[in-house]
Amino acid sequence: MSRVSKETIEECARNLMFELSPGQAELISEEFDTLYGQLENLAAIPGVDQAEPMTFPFRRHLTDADLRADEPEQPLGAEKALANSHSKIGDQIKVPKVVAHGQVDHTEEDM
Amino acid sequence: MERFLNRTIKEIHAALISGEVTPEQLVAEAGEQIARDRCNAYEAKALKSARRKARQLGEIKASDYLAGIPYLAKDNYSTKGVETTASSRILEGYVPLFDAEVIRRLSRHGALMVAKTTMDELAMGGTGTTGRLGATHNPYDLSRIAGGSSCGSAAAVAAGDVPYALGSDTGDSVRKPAAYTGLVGFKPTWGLVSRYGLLPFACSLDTVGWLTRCVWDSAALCRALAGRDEKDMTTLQRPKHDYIIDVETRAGGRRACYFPAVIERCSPAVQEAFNRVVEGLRKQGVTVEAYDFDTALLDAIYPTYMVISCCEATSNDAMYDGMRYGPAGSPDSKTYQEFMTSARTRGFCDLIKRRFIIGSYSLLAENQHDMFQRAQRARRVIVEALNRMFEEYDYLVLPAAPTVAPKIDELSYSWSKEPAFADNHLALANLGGMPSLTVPMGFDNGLPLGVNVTGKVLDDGGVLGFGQRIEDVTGLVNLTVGEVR
Repeated sequence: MSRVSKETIEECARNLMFELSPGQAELISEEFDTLYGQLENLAAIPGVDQAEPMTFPFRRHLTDADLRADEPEQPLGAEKALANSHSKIGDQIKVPKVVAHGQVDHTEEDM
Repeated sequence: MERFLNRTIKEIHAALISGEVTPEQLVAEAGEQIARDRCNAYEAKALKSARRKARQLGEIKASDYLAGIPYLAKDNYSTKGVETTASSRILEGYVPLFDAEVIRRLSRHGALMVAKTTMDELAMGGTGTTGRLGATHNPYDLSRIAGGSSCGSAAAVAAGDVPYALGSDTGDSVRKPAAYTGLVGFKPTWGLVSRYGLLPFACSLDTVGWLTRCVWDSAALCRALAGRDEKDMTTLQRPKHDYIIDVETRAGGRRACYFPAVIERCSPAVQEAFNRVVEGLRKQGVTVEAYDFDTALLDAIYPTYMVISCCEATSNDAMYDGMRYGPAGSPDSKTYQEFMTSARTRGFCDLIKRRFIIGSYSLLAENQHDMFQRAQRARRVIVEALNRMFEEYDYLVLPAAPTVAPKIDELSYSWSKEPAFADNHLALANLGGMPSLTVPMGFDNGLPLGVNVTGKVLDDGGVLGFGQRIEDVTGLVNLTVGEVR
């Protein structure tokens, strides 16, 4: 039996907001079995579980010189900000309703 | 018509200075080369703006090595006014409003970007076959990969379309393609070059990199691109440095080592070419010795790298929602969640989705200790072992790949059951942030082989100097498909 079930994988996909193609959940389940075996090998390396997690390749001591001055900048104009959008209403990007169906419904005209 | 772009940066620069060719003529030549592409190496073209910039260039000074010379950028660099997709459908239609810092610096030096290049989708892959435009082919043999993820950059430079291209390197994405296409591929120290405007894959591993056809050219790019950028606070405060001098003086140490366990797992042709390089280095007075690096740690490279990169990618790529660009969600969507799910389902390929799921699962609170954090702990143990090795030796020298470039129809896309460290050891330099350079070392039945040298953090000049020593030994300079055949 696989270490990570098809149902768990499908739940992950839902949380990540995409659907999987047929057969992908089974494939990922097999990949997890391989991965778990490799992670167990990692745990068997002396000192691994006692080591401090490494989040950057090497230690850096940040100083004030590493922070840039907080200088005001001219923000993007509406025309540039809207340049990439699929659709717009006035000077705003048109997006789908953000409240689920059946809840309070603000129509586009309310925006 | 006489060709120039199949020469090195240094040679093209000399031709520009002497008036033998003009920047506009070089852009025209690039356009012709791009139109003849057989490798599927290109995303968006930027020839019109390159022509305009070429016309506007003033006199080219002797010290402006990059001025007036066309180059390519991998499609994960933000380029103002030029579509930037990272070869993913999720970014189709995204036209950045700003240039990545490295693009800006190259512009400041008068360099002319003529096109963007194909890549593995969102830089997640090593085959160059997962991008939205399909597989990119190796110009030496179109049935084979050019490597990934900087596949288009490697294929185009090896084809002689331009003298250099930007890539990016998270696990080996510049250095492995360089090996498969007979090029020089450099990944500087993490933090030496700004990543501002580089679409992120895994921030603790990502590094700007570039592909050239000789070590000197790579040093010229390092000189132009290295340096603190206030917009990227991970860049390091370093005094200005001339890496060209390092190459010309063969700077750096003379003590190198290799891992016998890696060599044993390489093909006979790779072993033979590597041994020739080692013998040549020894004749130059360089010490090259075997070093017994724990094979359990070599086996640990693949799962450690994969788990960390998948986790970081899952987080970085959560921002793609299909609202402003990318494949618009279904018009039947009743909520933004449905819209976003529809867009992301169509926007990512199956391989990317599998990697996101592994990353997401590894980050769940109940799994973090045994998965993500274990990989982070293993990373420290691996890097500390590597740094102990660097207390005895200046450089680690190994074949960049165990074989020639694989055939496209023989690839596997599943999580590797075997750690296969001879194929994955280049990620050591990403785990530890070290500078690492691949240089051509020979051929196997007409297909290129590469050797890699990795050095201590911030010894970028030494690594480039050592790379020049290898180039001196092999004599393999400015390889292009046309020249080799």
